[in-house]
Amino acid sequence: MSDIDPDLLRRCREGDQAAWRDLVATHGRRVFNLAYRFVGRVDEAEDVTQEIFVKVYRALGSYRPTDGSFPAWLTTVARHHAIDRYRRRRDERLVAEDPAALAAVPSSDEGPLRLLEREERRHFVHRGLRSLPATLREPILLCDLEGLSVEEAAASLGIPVGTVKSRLNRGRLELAKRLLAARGRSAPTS
Amino acid sequence: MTGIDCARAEELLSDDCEGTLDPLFRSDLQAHLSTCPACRALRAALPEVVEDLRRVPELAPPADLGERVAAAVARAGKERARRGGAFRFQAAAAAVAIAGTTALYATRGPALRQGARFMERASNTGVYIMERKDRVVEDVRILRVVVGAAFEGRFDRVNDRVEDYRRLLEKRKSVEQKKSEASPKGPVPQAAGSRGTLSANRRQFNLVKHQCG
Repeated sequence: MSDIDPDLLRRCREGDQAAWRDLVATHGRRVFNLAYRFVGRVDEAEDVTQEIFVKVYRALGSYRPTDGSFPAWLTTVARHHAIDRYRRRRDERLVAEDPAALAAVPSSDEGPLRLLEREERRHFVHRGLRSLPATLREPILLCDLEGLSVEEAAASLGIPVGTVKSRLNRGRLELAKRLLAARGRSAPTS
Repeated sequence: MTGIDCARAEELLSDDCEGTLDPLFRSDLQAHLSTCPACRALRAALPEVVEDLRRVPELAPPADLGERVAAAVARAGKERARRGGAFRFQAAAAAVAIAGTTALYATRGPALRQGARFMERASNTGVYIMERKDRVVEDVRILRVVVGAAFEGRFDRVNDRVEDYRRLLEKRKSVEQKKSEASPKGPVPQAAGSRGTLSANRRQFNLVKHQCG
């Protein structure tokens, strides 16, 4: 199955700027959102996306269509870069969630009050995720946000499947406990 | 009570939430949940958390992302070309050096051997100079004491130190003289010989230092 034009691939390898604009137009959204899920900020996600595409340019010579589809290869390169960068910088900062991006979730047909509550809860959970220890956060990022299976996450993180499962469970439980504690504080009578 | 405790129940909650918990464990968990309100609340909150985690907004990338990436790739390409050029230059220079050395050795063998002997002597001299540096260090230390005393205004001590230094030089001279008499070739700079002289000097220096207090 040809999922990328071989001519576009060749021009990208040669550094043709128009070809890169085309490639970003096709695949930029996926990479940008992947970066955003890792860093949690739109401005930082833009920088990470740029870094990922430069990395793709450098690694493009090693890509063979027989190795798998181009989007899958691109996603793997992007994910590895995001994990590396995330691990390099995880101790440098406490990431603040981007309020503008959090407001960008598509609305549903729920009532406004219920919708507001859900949005507040989601905001709270994602903020809590950023403050979890990195060992608990990484499996959640890969399994819940990126949608990888436990086995894929274990392969990406280089740790056993059992460890991923246990950390995933502990991370989710920690967030659930915080949510319950916050509810207890905000509604003591309930 | 023979059921599981809260810690064990917490371990099972994620699998139960995902529907992958073994039926045997599920019955244990259900029994615990029926008696533990805290774990029950946690079990109820867990699916909400997972749902919220998975509900990440799908964002549109900035409009100029393509331009920015194209510019970044162009910069990376220039950098790669520059590094590639530098590597090619180094490789070419190494090849020329190897070829030149081979050709020179083939055409000027005897001259090169003479050159090699000269280089060996130069290397020996270098070793000799390196070992002499210890002596220079000793001299500098004594001179520093002399200058320090002079700055204190104690000229009697300056005279003592100058006398110490004169005695040290004399002892050095006598040791070297004995050594040159013992050696038929005279005072040729040799690493092993100079090492002996240096250790004698070091003893003398320690003696002088002790005298200087």
